[in-house]
Amino acid sequence: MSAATRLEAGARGPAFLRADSDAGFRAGLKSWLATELPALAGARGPAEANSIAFRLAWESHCCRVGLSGLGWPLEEGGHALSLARQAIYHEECARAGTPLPVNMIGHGIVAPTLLAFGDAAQKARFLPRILDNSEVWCQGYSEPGAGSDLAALRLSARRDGEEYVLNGQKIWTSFADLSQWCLLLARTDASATRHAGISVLLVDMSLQGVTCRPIRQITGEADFNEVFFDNVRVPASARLGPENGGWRLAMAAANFERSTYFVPRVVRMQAELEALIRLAAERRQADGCAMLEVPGIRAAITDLGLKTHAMRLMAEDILTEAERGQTSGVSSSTLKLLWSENHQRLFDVAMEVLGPEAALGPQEVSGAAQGRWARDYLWTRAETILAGTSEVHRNIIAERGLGLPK
Amino acid sequence: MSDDSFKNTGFSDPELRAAVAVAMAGVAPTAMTLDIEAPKHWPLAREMGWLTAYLPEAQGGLGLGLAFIADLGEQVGRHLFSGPLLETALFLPVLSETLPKADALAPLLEQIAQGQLRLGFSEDFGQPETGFVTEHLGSATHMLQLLSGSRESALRVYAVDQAQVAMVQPMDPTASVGRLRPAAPLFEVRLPNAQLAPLHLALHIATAADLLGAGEEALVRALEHVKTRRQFGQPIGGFQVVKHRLADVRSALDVARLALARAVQAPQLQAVDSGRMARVLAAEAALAATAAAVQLHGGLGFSWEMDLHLWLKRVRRLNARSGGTAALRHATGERIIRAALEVSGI
Repeated sequence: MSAATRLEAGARGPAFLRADSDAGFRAGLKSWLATELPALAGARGPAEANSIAFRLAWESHCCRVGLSGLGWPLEEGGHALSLARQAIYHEECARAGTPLPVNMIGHGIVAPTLLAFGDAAQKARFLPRILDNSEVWCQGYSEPGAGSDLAALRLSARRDGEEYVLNGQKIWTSFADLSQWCLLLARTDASATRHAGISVLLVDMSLQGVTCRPIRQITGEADFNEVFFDNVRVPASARLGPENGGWRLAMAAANFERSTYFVPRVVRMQAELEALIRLAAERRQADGCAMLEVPGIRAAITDLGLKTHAMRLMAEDILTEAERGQTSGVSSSTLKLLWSENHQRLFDVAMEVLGPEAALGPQEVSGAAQGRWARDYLWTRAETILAGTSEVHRNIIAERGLGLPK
Repeated sequence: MSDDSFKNTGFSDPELRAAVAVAMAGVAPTAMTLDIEAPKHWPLAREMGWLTAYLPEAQGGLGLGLAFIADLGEQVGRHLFSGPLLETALFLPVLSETLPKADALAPLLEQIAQGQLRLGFSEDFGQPETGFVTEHLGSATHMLQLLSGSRESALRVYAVDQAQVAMVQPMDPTASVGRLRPAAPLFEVRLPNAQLAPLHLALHIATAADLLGAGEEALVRALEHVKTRRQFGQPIGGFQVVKHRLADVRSALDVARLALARAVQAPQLQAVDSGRMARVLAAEAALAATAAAVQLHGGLGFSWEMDLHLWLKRVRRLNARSGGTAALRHATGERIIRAALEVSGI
């Protein structure tokens, strides 16, 4: 790599990325967010500001100005920011109230998996379009008969010359309907035992024979999809890693998911807890007592504060491990459990704090924060199910961490 | 133990830690052999220099710092070490700074540091009319009391032989407890709370470490049992309900260990908060671990000779110290809520 490329890569994005100190980085980021977010959000209220359309618009805006690939190496077009700065980035975004991204699979899972396992052509083809967010990714893992038991997956990829022919179905695929690409787990050897016959394919969602059907969720929204593959022909070059060697990649990707993907959410929880405390300070019972003064609410908030502290320490620990190149199998399960269950609890408490207003539905804009509390209360039901259910993660900790029998 | 979740990596130098572990394992009691005075424990503490481990080198100690105290505390909890080891080690620096060097009290410090005098310890809880509940009173010659006020705190030293003492049945059979109604203190010093912050932090860290060690050992014993005990044709550790309970214990202990490591390294400004949170999380984890160990042993777990109750009771004693974890939890919650409202200017 030439010095010119290095300079160009380093020069991408707003100047605060190259601040001399962490404090300078934070101050620059804060002022950037204070200008850019209101400018793009305009008059949108909480409901519209958290819509998929605005989430994607904000995410693409950030990526286009160069705020992506924060932790990637410089030679791949990233910023190689220190962990401390990445944490500051997520912290300040959460404080500023930026909407969640949409292309989480692309940035959080596909990119680190490509960086670790992709060949030069695959990296050159896909990484720049993740960096500028021009291609959104989904992840084709679960099937109707393979949920927690992922290795039971059946979607077949039959080799036919220089192509694979895909037949089968995926389900619970987030944002498949607005994705250009899918990181897909397929069975390339029907005769091999469960884990052995699986490969990872990078599939163009616009190919003939791919059909998405959105699934309406308990929130009333439809982020998840069923995806059908009917004689879909993909080139053999779309395979990531060795044929029938996909399970190891999938497990590594799952670790990226639970570390790089959940860490921003863990950081976000501090800001969400602060919002809950403000909500509880503002809302009153019929007798005039602020909800924050109700002993049960105060005790629940205290517990959430302790758990948020604990989770933050665990996230830092996992990132430190990741930086040293160590995989974090069991501790990433612990973090996923801690985060998803306490995040769910936070919104349980919020529903209590809302009192009679908790009877309002998630799209009712006259509700608190235009229904966002109700919507997120319902959404957090998914968080203990997706990316490995709480039950699966407890099994991982017990079997791999404690050596208990399967 | 097949994966990386066992972050039993300790806090200070691995060789020092290993030496502590080996020495303590050699004198660890069992329920059937235990003697509340643990005659081998105190001489070991003196011989190993643990009493002066935290005292700065300039004052004649080993100057090993809080990381070593955390390691020492964890082994104390694991191996059911008896006696006021951690309390003595932690109070020596402040006693060394404040005890008069010239009068009749002058030899006191040296005698405490050498382990010739033994301390009982009480924080400001208990009802004065029934006497201060004092740990390790059985063999104590002196009682240390820390009375916290809103701006300043008082540190007092009493002579046990000048006080009314009534020994009571202790919850924890490895630590004597008595009620003490003191006469006038031999010594009292009032210090601003800010000056005592390092002592409070050290007490939080030592107690959290003792709790963590007790919890870790309870988990080890529970695992040994559920991997070998067979019912319905399989080890009971294969049942998900058992696995999930122990997975939660593992997670709680991991979290407590990280919180303790953070408290050990925390910058002075947030250190006491950080220590308090570590202590609450360690108490939570240790209570869960010891309760699970008793439960998963079935009837055996309820029997005296099985030893498990020794950790359960130790954790109960430590949890009750300083007015109990509930009070520490309350203080933590108030700080979190105040901070959140300050951020938003409410």
